[in-house]
Amino acid sequence: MKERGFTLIEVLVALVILATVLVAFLRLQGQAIESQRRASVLLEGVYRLDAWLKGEVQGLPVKERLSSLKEWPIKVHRYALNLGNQEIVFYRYEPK
Amino acid sequence: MNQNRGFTLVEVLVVLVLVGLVLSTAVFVLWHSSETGLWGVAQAEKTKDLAQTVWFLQNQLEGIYQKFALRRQGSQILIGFLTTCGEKYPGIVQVRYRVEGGRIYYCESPYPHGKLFSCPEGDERLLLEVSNFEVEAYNNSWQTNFTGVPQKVRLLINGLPVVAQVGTRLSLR
Repeated sequence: MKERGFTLIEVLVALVILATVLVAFLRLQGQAIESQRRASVLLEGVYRLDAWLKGEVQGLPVKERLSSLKEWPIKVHRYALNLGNQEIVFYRYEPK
Repeated sequence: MNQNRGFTLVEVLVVLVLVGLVLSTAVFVLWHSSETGLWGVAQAEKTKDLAQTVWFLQNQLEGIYQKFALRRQGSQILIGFLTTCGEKYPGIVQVRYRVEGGRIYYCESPYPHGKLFSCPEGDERLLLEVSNFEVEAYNNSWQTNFTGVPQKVRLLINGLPVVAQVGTRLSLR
């Protein structure tokens, strides 16, 4: 039986596949950590906005917009807190 | 000419050095990514626990029913009240939060149970580890010790501001 080793091409292809898989894995991990960070920021934002609406936190850059629904006897208050690339929005409904 | 000559010592050493470099880089990257992954999992768990605890505590405080007391005893903070939002029991329940040494403990009993800060032995459980915890109750002014039914309760848990307006929630179930 003729015994021969791997050719350079075979080794290089294997290394490229291994590197691709590792890079994909590392990117996935990076995305998971980024998602965790976003969740933490969102959690803090939600409670800060909630406290702001209850008058317990000042100086929050909240954008407020009032609108009303034509066929419904209600007014809609929209409160938006911008957190860079994310936005937290609360709606408050009240009778007209 | 002999086609089957072996490798020279220099060739073998060069290959060994190259293989060593590649392997050590791969091991370092894998080790670092595994550490980062474990750190990420721990952070995610912390965020989840904080979100659950804060949501739960806010709901319970919004459902305060007739009795509430906030007291500081030495190094511990005690919060006891009746609420419509229990975890274990339906209907009105008596709960006690005890904060000591950066840990929040929770105890729940069906109402009526006994004194407001009492807890049956073995019923208390660890809810969350915190780096900072502040609580005040409001009834015309913010107070750090309080007995009665407050209008609002304000908490600061790990820097997260939580405000509960008492009486805005009747029951979760």
